[in-house]
Amino acid sequence: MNAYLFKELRETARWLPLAWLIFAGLLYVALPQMSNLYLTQGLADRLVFQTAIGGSLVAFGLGLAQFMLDQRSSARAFLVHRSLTPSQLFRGKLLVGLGIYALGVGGPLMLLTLYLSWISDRFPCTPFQTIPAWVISIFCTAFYFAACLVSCSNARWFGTRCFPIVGSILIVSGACVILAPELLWIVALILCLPAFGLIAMIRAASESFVFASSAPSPTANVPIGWERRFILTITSIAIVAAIGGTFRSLLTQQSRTLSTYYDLKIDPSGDPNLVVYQNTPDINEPRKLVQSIRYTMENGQLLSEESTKPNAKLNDRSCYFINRPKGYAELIFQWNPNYLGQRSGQNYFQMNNGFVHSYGLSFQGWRLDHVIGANGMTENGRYPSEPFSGRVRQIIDYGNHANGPQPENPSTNAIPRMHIVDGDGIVEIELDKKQVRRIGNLPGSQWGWGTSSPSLFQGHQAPRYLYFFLDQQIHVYASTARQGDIESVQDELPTYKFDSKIDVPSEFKSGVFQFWFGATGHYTFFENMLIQVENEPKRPGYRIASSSPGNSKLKSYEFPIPKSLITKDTEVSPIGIGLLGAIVPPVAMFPYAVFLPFLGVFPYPYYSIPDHIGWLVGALVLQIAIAMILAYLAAQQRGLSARSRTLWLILSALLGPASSLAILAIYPECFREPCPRCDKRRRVENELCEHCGKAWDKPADEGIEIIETSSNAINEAVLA
Amino acid sequence: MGRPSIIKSEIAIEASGLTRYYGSKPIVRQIDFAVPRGSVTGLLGLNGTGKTTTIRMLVGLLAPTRGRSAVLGIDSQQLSPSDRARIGFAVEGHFLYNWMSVAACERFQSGTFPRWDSRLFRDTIDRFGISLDAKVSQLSRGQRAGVSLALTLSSLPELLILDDPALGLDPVNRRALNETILEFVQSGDRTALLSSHLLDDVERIADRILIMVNGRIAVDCPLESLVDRVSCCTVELDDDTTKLGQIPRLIHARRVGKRCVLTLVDFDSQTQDALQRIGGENLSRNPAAFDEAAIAYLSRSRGSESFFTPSQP
Repeated sequence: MNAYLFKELRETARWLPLAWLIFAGLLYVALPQMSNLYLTQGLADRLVFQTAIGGSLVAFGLGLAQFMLDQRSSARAFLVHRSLTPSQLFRGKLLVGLGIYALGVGGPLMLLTLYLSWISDRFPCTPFQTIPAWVISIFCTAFYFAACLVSCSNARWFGTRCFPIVGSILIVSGACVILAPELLWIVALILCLPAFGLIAMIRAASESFVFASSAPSPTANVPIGWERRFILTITSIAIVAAIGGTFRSLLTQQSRTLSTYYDLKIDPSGDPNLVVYQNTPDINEPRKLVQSIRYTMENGQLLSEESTKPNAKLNDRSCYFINRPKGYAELIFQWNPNYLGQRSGQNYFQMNNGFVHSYGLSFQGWRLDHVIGANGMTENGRYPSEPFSGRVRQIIDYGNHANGPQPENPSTNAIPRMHIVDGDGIVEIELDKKQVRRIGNLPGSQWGWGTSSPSLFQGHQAPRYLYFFLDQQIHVYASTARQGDIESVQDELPTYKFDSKIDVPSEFKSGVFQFWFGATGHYTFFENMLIQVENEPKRPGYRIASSSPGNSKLKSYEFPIPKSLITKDTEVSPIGIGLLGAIVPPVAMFPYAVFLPFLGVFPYPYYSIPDHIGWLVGALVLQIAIAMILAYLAAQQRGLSARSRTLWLILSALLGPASSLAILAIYPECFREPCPRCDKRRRVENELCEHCGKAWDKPADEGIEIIETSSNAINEAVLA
Repeated sequence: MGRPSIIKSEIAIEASGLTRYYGSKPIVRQIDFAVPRGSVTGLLGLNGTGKTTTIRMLVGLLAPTRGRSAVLGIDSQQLSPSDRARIGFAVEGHFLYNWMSVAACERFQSGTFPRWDSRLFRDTIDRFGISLDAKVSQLSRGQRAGVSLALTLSSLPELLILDDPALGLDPVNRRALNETILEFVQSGDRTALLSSHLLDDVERIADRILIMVNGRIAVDCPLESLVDRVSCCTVELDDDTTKLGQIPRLIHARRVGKRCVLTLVDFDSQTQDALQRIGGENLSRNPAAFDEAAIAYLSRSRGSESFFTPSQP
């Protein structure tokens, strides 16, 4: 076995540099470009994404290199014919292949983890942020086993041979649930599904390697385990759904199906408002306000409840494992009270001498890009101007960031404008003119920023609104930059003008008032309260939770969204509903179509199912009928027994047309020849005719044979 | 289902109703044969007649479409590692890992077989003029065959199955190959089955012959029987070759000038009568040489080689 392991190691290790190049290269190229590298969940997100891509590529490449080469007829014969079982050979390959994969993917990830650990005492990051990537890297091994299945399959390349790749994509995609902002145990529970898929993939790969015949069909004598059936069936469903979904998407786009969505706003009186938008095809006005419902907090409509404990034990700042948002802001400031935040890829710190330093961040380390003084002077590493006298709270925006300033770049002075918030309000600095202008004089006020649609301002990385809390009122300053597509506002620098005042409800008067935006868009965070979108079907609405400093318990209020508002959408096209019924497997559609509407739960947020139930049911029935016909034909073509055929017909009624694809993927081709007794076509691999029970006749002699062996003796010996 | 336990018999390889389809095409068709222990059996057949497929089914690398086969009394599809250690199998084309040296090949092979005779390995590669340090990628085809044979023999198998071991070898290496096989088989109670296209080599080392024609076994007998039972007649015939169909046990016919050379099996009075009926004047009848007999059978796989090949019933 050692000799075999050495051989595998020697053959596979040569791919290790390539694996490093692919994976580490992806990390190196992609990570420094992210705008908020260390500070938010973005690092975990990005790492997961890069690991999913890089890990899958490495795993699939390694699998192909290991299995494909040894599946050549002579190579397989040479490898298999020795005193090792095929299972041992498979395990040996697995040991080496996964070991190389661990080095190829785990090596760079480990270096990154160590690096984050090294800088985490100075910067707001944590090595725990790599944990999701580690988890995903494990699931990426599905591609390794898929490569084995692809290599050992005797299907045609343009047929069902590559189906396991789709299965791997499903597994890795499913594993990305690790990023879901849910409790850890819920995430772990959901992860069991891709884990089950991975186990099935391993077992299927093992079976396909052990029983690979490296020859074309028929292979009816080769066993097909449940694992392969499971993977190929799920894959078939995914493929059919993807094709159907694309088709549906094209049609519904043409029919301009409109959708509604909702948001929560605070009106000038301080009351929360549920606002309902509808999308429009106009790119300049992608949504229009169709409804607004004001909630009053005094008339008893709010439900209060004691929320679960905030997760105070976890302190990994921005890692997704602390998706309880409360600790995020605190930890940033605990780490460095002078940290001002990050805008446009620049990290701002107010130094003890009052100057603001701006650091660019890359994997090579931190880089001091410029120093900002109170008069707007910026010089590299020099302090020719006056420092800020008080605490600078935040850098709001920073123009021309796309061509970011560099220490050696004289274009630093070309940076047109920036806004900061200090202890006295908003300061606008026109850097090129070295002019400073105070916009709002709001001494000592608490402040925050927000935007109704951050992505529209991504070009500037600038907030749409600035909020200042003063005298139980929120003073709102709005950006003058117009909303629109990112390209059109790239070069338009905002300034801020007073917009309105909002009376703050009494419940929220204490504590520091801060807006924070979560990466998911489901949360709007305050220092002592958060607004959370509840997308649970049974409890649609918003939840506002608040707490006072030092109190670990949250007090929460719920703003239910009226069902009538959600389920009512008269603009929706019936084609969309019909196609929904036509492509989604019936087993998945029945609960939506039949049960949930009667229970009063909206099945799909943007569609009005009850209005189009006829379309839905009609499409479902049609789908089932077509699926059963296709499954019957496929079962006939593959020569399935009556029992298997019946089973697949039942399955086809549940799974839809995907079941016929699954039949074709699972079962080998069936060939038949006419039976000389009953004249019906019989399967060539059956010893006896399935119709009349007749054994195969020996080919007739031609009269020239010279056989000097006793056939009877042979038969007796073989059958003994 | 347990493995069939067969009593220690005199049969090393058995096939019963062995059939293999590739797609809808039957490549091996219901073949039955037996290879006695201690024999050297040559498996002959044109390209594509199913030799390699048969061998791959025998060693359990390919599942038969139907039928069974057994080697050393064990069902081919259920060979355990210890069973495989008793079977030496050299694959067609002398597959070796190019990145290995000859010494590395030996280490790899010896590490995956329970018994190993290093001396035999070195003696065998010496015979082919190969050094242990040589890289496989730099070996000639003949030398690769030598290494492949050495690797196969040095595990001291009871049964040797060689798939076209002499493919592409020069005469010197062929002789070395034949001598090595013969010496090995004669050194114990060992059996060999080798497929080949080289009739001289087969005649030199084999004592039994299997000839496959269109996926079927046409000849399964000792080499002497083949030579004894097949004869060649030279007759004069007119241009109407369709009359040849009336001759029983006609294997093959070819025209040489105005004469026809007929290769027949078990020539008897019935054959003689048929010859007279078609008006052929029997000029001579001689026992067929081995290669003539074998080629006559082999030619039935390829109609274009002969102006007349009796149609199959």
